[in-house]
Amino acid sequence: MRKTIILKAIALLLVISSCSDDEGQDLIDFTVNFNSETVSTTEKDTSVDVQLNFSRPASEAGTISIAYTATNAEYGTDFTTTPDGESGTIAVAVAKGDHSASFTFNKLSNAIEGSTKSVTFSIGSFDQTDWKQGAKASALVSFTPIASTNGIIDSENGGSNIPNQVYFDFSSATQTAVRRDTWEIAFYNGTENRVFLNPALAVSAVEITGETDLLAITEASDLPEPMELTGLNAMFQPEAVTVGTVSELLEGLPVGYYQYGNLDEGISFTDNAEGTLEGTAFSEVSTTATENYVYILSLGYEIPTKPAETGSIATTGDQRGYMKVRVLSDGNSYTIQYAELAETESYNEVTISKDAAYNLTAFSLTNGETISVEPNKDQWDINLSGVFSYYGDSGGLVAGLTYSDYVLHNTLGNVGLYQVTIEGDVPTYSNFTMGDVDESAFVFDNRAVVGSGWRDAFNGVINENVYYVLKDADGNYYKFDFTDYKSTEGERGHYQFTYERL
Amino acid sequence: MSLNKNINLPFLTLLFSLFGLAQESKTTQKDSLSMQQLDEVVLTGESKVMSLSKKLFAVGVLDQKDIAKVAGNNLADILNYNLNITVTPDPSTGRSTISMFGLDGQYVKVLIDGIPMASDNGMGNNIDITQINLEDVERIEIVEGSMGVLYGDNAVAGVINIVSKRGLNNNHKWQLQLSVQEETVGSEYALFDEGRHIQNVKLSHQLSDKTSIAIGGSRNDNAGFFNGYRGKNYVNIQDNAVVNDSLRGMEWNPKEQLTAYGNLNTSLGKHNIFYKIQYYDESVPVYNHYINGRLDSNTGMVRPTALDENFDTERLMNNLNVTGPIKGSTVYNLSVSHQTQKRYYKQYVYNILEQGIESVIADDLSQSSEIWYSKGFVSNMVPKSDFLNLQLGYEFNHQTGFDAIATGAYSSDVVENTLENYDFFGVADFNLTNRFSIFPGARFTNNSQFGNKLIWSLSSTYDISNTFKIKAVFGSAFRAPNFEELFFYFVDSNHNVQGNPELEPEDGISLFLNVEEKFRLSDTSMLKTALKSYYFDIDGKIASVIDVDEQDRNLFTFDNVDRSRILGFSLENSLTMNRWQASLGMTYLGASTTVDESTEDNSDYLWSFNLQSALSYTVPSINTTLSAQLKYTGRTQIVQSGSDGTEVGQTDDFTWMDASARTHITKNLSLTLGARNIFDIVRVNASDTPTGAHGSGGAPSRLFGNGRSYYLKLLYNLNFN
Repeated sequence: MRKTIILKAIALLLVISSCSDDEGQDLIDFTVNFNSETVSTTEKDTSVDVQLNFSRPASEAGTISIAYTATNAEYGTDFTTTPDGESGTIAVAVAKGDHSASFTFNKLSNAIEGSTKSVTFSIGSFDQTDWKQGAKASALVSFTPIASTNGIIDSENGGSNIPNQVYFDFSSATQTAVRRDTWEIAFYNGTENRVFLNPALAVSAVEITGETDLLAITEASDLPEPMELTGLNAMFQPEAVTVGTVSELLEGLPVGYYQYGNLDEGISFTDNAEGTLEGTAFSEVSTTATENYVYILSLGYEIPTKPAETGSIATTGDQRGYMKVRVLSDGNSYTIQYAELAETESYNEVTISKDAAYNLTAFSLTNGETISVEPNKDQWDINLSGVFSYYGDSGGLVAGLTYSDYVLHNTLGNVGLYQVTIEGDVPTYSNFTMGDVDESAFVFDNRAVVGSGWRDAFNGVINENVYYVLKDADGNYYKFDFTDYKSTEGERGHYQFTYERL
Repeated sequence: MSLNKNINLPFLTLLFSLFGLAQESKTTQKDSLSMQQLDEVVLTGESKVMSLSKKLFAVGVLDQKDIAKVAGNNLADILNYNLNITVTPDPSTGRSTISMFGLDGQYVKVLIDGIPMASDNGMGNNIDITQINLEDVERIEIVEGSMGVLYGDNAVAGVINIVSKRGLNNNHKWQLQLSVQEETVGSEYALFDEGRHIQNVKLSHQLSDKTSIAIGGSRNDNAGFFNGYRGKNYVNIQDNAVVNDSLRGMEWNPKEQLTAYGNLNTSLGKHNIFYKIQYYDESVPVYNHYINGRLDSNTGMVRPTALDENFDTERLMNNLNVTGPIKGSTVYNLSVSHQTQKRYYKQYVYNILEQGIESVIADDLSQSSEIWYSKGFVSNMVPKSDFLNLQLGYEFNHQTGFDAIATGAYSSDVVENTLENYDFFGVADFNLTNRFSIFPGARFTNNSQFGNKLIWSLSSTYDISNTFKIKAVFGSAFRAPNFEELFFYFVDSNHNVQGNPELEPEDGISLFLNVEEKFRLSDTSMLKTALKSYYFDIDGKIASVIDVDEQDRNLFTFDNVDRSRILGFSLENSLTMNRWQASLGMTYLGASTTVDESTEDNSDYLWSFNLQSALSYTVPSINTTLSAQLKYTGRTQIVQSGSDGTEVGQTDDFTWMDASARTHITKNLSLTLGARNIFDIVRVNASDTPTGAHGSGGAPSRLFGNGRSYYLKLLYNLNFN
């Protein structure tokens, strides 16, 4: 009998000790939330997407029923939805693997001034019984604009290749994403006649001083006069280089460690990091045509298509080649003469009028057309440039530098910004209020104040000790703080920041 | 691994029903443990499976007693006490590999019943020894020296052979063994989520005089080693933002292992057939120290997530061995094996606050290999001659598989590779006089990757008296380049690392000289002393080199450029006296590495000293054996490339000590109580590790253990008819 007890006891021990706490290996709850509790429309908008976010990708397909109640509005007269909501509910289909779903609100009429007109959508039911509604179970779509006071922005830079640069406007909470490789140069619309290069694509330019004939310069040409430049030798030490031919010059033109320059002499083949009018690689365009020389441009680097390994980035692909450009101006417009570097027969010529609504008008040399890149100059505050390059000094190494996760602010559009470093009795981000704003600290002459210092890519973390204060052109004050630069899946190039109007 | 939970219940139901049988049976038999007479702790023994090697080599044996003394569940628990072996755990992968004579696991071949075990990318080498369960093991044989002639590639430093139990060695028809083992990991222990929890079940049955079968299972649930880390559900949130203090996760990730096995041993006339099937499953989650602190745009609250991984390895082994006489004393030995190994890789986003998976990023089969293997030999081919004897054999190996991780995340070339080996070998046995014999041997290898190779050995024995013996072993072997060295590929704008498919195997030669004397001190006491000297020369050793590719870019690749020489002396003593057993061994080993053969600088021998000692005492009155083992691993130095060419890096010395008491509470129930790592070793300073591997600011170090741990093992052993 005793043996029985022992055997049972041992068997019991086996059972107990072989149990383990496995909870937590299951999927988290599937909850559905509206992306935003308020959706505003402007007079111009005829439709707007209303987005629903999920807590995790859907593990099975299903349908979400959305109900609505309208204030001073009628379905069919003032608005419709896609999918159709005439019956009183909208059936939004969810496919397996989806992170989010959306439906479209179509505005058929505007609000009469002074009256409120809105539709409130709410999550009704699910055909999957284990789906749940989250904290943001309803969203109000207004027929008129609503000012933005705070928010969390997941940037649309597009991942580890950082294909997009993103412009963000705090007051309208609008982000505008543009592919980095759609333009090479941009023309200043202010009184000065200036040409900017696309730093997000690592475009660089060198002036062939003395040469005004675009077709006379090819890769085989000698320079009108030799250039005294500085490069890096194989041991990364500065080394004087005398360049006498175009082909020698091309070796040091693309942005990279071996890019030539001479900071003491003020020679840089890129615009300065600060983005000042005086710091462009192009000299100021003269209204006297003969004073405007030919430039050779390195068109930067292709955006790779293969995503980088988790945790790293791949932003610079093959070099995009070279072109030659000469820019003339009459003060109100720019005339661009451009051709392939090898071209000796004919060139293209385009004239672009200045448009005061924008800081810059971007131009694609490869497609020969102006490109809509920046929003109106008073409709963006910061530019999540992603990639950013310039010739400069990095810890003693003077070279063509390429940064990632770079953020600029709209200095040409009168936006001021400064960085707050949390130390001593400096308030934390959440404790920072209007009373803490240091008016004298706003920087209006250096677009690169944020730069890439908000994250520490070497250690793979956000720099938790800094946040930023911004004053837009209309005098609104905002604070913002970056919360991540990787997606939850670990992919870089997915920035997130939170902001609040002070 | 919720699977395991489900398996346990039916298993136990079965056991409870068997219990009915057990009750009726007579249990007068001595239990199997006490049956083993404590007559030998000598690390030299004999082997049936390695039928020839005892003549040619000095074979060290660890038997069930040695395993029981340290309550060993897997090979890593016990191999540490071998004088010339160091076990090196890698906390990030959970793997423990061995180095023998300072040569890493790629130079050591691990066999199960003489058949090489499937490893991640090969056959028998670079084995994670924590994956080898000891429940069904009769003994472990360790043979030192280059044994290429008998065991083929990679048997450069030596061979470890795991010998399975065969049949029931008592007069009963049935044997049931149940055991549980609870162990702390350092000072960490909790019933479920901390410490180490082991359960074993084995049932053996003697069907007839000639046939026996056994089935069993073992589960080792190691909850990992926190060592100051706070586990997978830790997050530091301040002011609605994640503070990445790198405390999430674990020092040493958890590992759950499940081994199930069955075997059949039968005789058909004079022929013996042994079949073994073994299934192994391992699950290792890797918890990221970094926490992603994105805000939830729905709630505005921080939603901390971590990118975690899980490695699940499955292995299935079918081994068949047939032996028997051909004519007279000429015998044959034939083995056939089929083994598969698969590793599944899963990467997922773990939501820390909700403690669940948010999304699965990857869930792939990342490594797979299938092996067909056969070896056969005929020994004693000239039965009538006293002077000459001959053994001839073949070995065949066909392996197909791929490894997405070893070829690098960037590789687009994760194609299946096939490797094939045809080997023929022979060893002659010239008995020149009664006391003096020489054994020349040779092996011809044809390998589909690197072509033909000839290796050889020559050993001789001279018996000065029946107890005083001299043995000299001169052997060669080679290490085949591994998967990563051949096929790794990582090329982008910043990196250019590529394997070298043109690599040649590394050639190793070893020379062993062994002098052994036994002294009978009295009727109950015996002293055995062995003095050994050894020399290894490994030429064309594969090392990382920087080359230039066609585009004039620096190419990091591998080439056969280094040379390594090892010279050593060891003295091993063992004493058996009444109820005492003691052993003391010392080894003094020097290693010289010529980094890049062309340069002769810094090839001095760098010396290290190891000491091993064991003591055990049996108290018959309370049926208890007390034992203690100690191993001192001297500082080891290696030549590595530093800022100014080569420099010497060092791992400091450390001492490992275990002690245990094993007692029989009843005839059927025994209890082992013990402590591992009494000197509380965790990290040992090491200037030869890549800097920045762990922590910041602290001295570079290498993890060897998880601190002083205690264990308790209950073993229930029931014999019945």
